[in-house]
Order: sequence, then structure tokens, then C-alpha cells
Amino acid sequence: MSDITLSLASVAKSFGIVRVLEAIDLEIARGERHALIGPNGAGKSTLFNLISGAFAPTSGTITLNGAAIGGLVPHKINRAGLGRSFQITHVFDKLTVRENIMLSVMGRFGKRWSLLRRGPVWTDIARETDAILEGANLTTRAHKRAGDLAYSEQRAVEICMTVGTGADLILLDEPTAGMSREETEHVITFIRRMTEGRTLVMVEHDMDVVFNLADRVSVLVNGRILMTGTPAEIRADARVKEAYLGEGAH
Amino acid sequence: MDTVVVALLNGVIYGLLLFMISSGLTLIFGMMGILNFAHASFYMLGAYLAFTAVTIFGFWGGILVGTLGVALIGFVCERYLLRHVRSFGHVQELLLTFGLFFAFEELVKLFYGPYAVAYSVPESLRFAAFTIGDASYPFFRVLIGATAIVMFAAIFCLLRFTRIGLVVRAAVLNPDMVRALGYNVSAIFSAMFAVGAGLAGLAGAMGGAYYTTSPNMATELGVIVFVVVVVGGLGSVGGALIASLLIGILVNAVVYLDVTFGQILATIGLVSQKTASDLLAVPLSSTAGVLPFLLMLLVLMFRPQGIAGDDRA
Repeated sequence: MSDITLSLASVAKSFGIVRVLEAIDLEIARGERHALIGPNGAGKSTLFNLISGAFAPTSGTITLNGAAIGGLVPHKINRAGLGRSFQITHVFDKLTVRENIMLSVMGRFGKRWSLLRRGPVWTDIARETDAILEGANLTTRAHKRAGDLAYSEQRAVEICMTVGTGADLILLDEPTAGMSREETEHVITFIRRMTEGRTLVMVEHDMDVVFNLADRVSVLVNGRILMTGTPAEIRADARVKEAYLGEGAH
Repeated sequence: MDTVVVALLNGVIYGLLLFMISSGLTLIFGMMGILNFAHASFYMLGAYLAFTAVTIFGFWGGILVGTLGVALIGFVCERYLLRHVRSFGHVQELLLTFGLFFAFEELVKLFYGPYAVAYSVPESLRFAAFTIGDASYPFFRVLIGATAIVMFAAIFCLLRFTRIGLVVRAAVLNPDMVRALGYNVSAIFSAMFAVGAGLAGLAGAMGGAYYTTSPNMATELGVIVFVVVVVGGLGSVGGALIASLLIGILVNAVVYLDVTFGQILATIGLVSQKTASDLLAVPLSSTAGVLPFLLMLLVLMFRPQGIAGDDRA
């Protein structure tokens, strides 16, 4: 395995005649925490959807752990090692927290189509599920319906699910959107702990979160990467200030 | 009193037959968002397939062929037709199934003619299950009801207690997330569509033998099945069960109630006996055809999401 987990080379995406992304080049190192920022409509979500397989790129190649994944269907990309969360919370609200997480762990153990739960592998699945619950301080919530949890807890469940599939690249789409300051801080700590040893790419609007969590930041403006650098470099750059921080930072 | 019991039983069994068809429709809608106009066609195809196969495989073989054959047709429709229009949105899917509905009806007319065919319950199964007062109750009706109950129990257990059921329930709630977790949702959809179609096929193979097998059966039942799904709540299997029974019992009950509107109004003193027997001598049973729609209207007015539906739909 190389030191590059995810690599994008000249990736472009058009919807009809509208070019949303043009010539995106990006390399994300193993274990890196990378944030994508940029004004609304810059193409962040589209880029996420290309990486996770919701759309196929118009041109260019996307490589995950050395394998080309551009244009594959989402479940195949997941099996190649990618876990993602969504901008709007995507937990299964009517299932219990434990069932939610078990669904993600079942996939990792290759038990997607089992009728019954017999055999040693189910012991492993149960143990792994409980370990994730324990690690996320969700053990007391295990048998509650996910939809009955507080919003920040639902996001925590969702992050557990992205991790539970065994993915080594985690994509988080605005993980702290709509949270209070206190909840946000809690979630940042949580993300840092849960993604330990994995590679993280996230879209985030909250600059405090970005500068607090990310090792490197890419600024996306009008479908192009304006610059990539450490949080300090991004903060100091005049072009970024003009394009984004000046108007966008709240 | 006896007639009331018979009417109730008939209602329950007709309701259970409705449920066999509508459960597939509501499951498919809940999972895939497809309002399958051709679903009642699967009911019709089940009857015709069974009718055709009966001569070769016998009655039970015919029922099996009807069920599995329609499941296969459903699978092909989903995999090779619906999937191609999915990216264009639900309206296109709806139009496609609308087209399928007519295509199936015309195909059946082409091969079997425009009139009912002589598909019926074999002599060996025509005996009374029990008698109520003077009336004997046919065994095959009871069998239709029992099949529906067994089927409901099977679906319920599959969805509730098995791991694969967990995946299916999750896919109903949120297909995108299930995909993101590495599950092949398209395969789940194809399988579900096939199962839903197969259930309608089973209902057709059994119902067609007892009632009539004609090219109109899809049209006749299709509308009622949609009413069931709307009243029960789109996507809810439990709701479909309640709505099916409600409509079955309601429709059968008024047929057996030998009263007119005039008599009812006269009894509560709103009109004179003369008006009741002249102008308002409309029998209550004539409303049987309207009742399901009246029920749907009331449900849509006061509980738009249906009896057991959630706010999503």
C-alpha cells in the first residue's frame, strides 16, 4: 500500500452544459485529516458525490488505495474501503442504535445476505458492534430507536456506521451542521477519536472546526481548487480571504 | 344473524385477498417510491398463468406456476425496464408501469380473448369447510384467507426477525445510507419487486379460480388495491392489512344489509314513510361500489398520511 489513500487526477464533472467541477487534482495521504471548504455552490458536495459514487465523473480518474473507483456504484466503492456520512443525517430512525451499527459491521464481515444469525462470525459481529457502541459512549442508548436520540447523538451514530464498515477512508459531509457550540466541540473530539488511524475527508462550513481538526485544507471556488495547505497557510492567504473567509466566516 | 356472520366472513376473506395484492404494492412503494400501476396486472397474470398450467401440472402445480411465473415477470420488469428509467425520476417510472398495465391487458386479450376463461376450483376442493345455520361455507374461501394469513406471518417474521429483514427495513428507511454501507440496494430492490409481484401472482392464481379470471380483473381490482394502499398509509404493510379488512368487511356488510336509504332516514324520523318508500327506495347495497372511495376521501381529508402511514409519504 502506498502512502496515498485517495488521489484525484484532472477530475471534472458537468451536468448538461454546466461545468460544476473542472480539473480537480488532489492527493490525500494515509492518516491525513483533510477539510474541503468553499462558498456555497463551489462544488464541494458534487466532489463528495463523485468520490462516493453517487455520480460518475465526466472525465479524470479517482483512485482509492491504488484501485480506480471513478464511476463505480456506491456499494462497490464502500467495499473498496470508503465510508461516508451525509449532509442530512442518514441514520435509520426506526431501527435501534445497535441495529444501525450492526448493519454496518455485518457488511464488513461479508454477512450481507444472511437469514439467521448462527455461527462464530455472528459472535464476532456482535462483539465488534458492542465495541463500537462502547467506544462511542452509546452503550446506554443501544436499544433506543435512533430517531429518538438527540441530534448530535444521531450524528455520532452515523459516524460510527461509517467506521463500522471497516472503511479506511471516511468522508463526512458537514458533520457539525446545525449544532450548538457545545455539541460541536463534543463531536470534534468524537470524530478525532473514532477516525484515529484512518484517513478523513470532510466538508465543513464551521471554520473553527476546520482549523481545529484538519491537518490540511483545500479551498474550492467555482469548481476549482484555489489552494491546498495547512490551516495556518489557508488563514494567511489573501486570495482565500477574498474568495471565502471575507464573506463566509460567521 | 347467520347471514351477518357469513357476510363478515366473506368480508374478512375478500379483505385478506386484497391484502395479498396490496401488501406487495405498498412494500414496493415504501422501498422504491414506485407507485406500480401494473401491480394488479400481476394479479391477473397469476390467474392466467395458473389457468394455463393447470392442464399440465394440476391445480396446485398451476398455483405454483402462477406464483413463481409472476415473480419472474416482476423481476424482469424491474431489472430490465424500470431500472433504466429510474434515474429520470418517479414520474417516468409511473408512466412505464402505466404502459405495462395496458400491455399486459392487451396481451392477455390477444391470447385468451376478451371474455372470462373457465378457470375454476377443481371438484375435489369444492366442499364445505363448515356450516353456519343453513349456509355451508366453502372450503376454498377459507383456504384463500388462510394463505393470506400465513403469508402475512411469513413476511412479518422475515422482516422482523431475520438479518436480511433488517437490511430490507433499513433499505426502506434510507436506501442511500444502505448503499453507502456496502449493500447492493439494486439487488434488494429487484428481489423485493419479484416477491411483491409473486404475492400478487399467488393471489391471482387462488382468487382467479374462486372469483372470475378475465382481462378486466386487473382494472376492477387495481383501483381498489390503490384505495387500500392510500387508506392504509403508503408503504405500511400493517396499514394495508387494516385497510384491506376494513374495505372487505364494509363492502360485504352493506350488500347483506337488506335496507334502503329511505328506511334508515324514516327510522330516525327525517323523512315520512311515503317519501322513504317512493323517492328514497335506494338500497344501501347499491353503495358497495362507492364505499371504498368514500372511505379514501374521508381518510385523505382527516388523516392524509393514511391509517398507519407516517408523515413522510
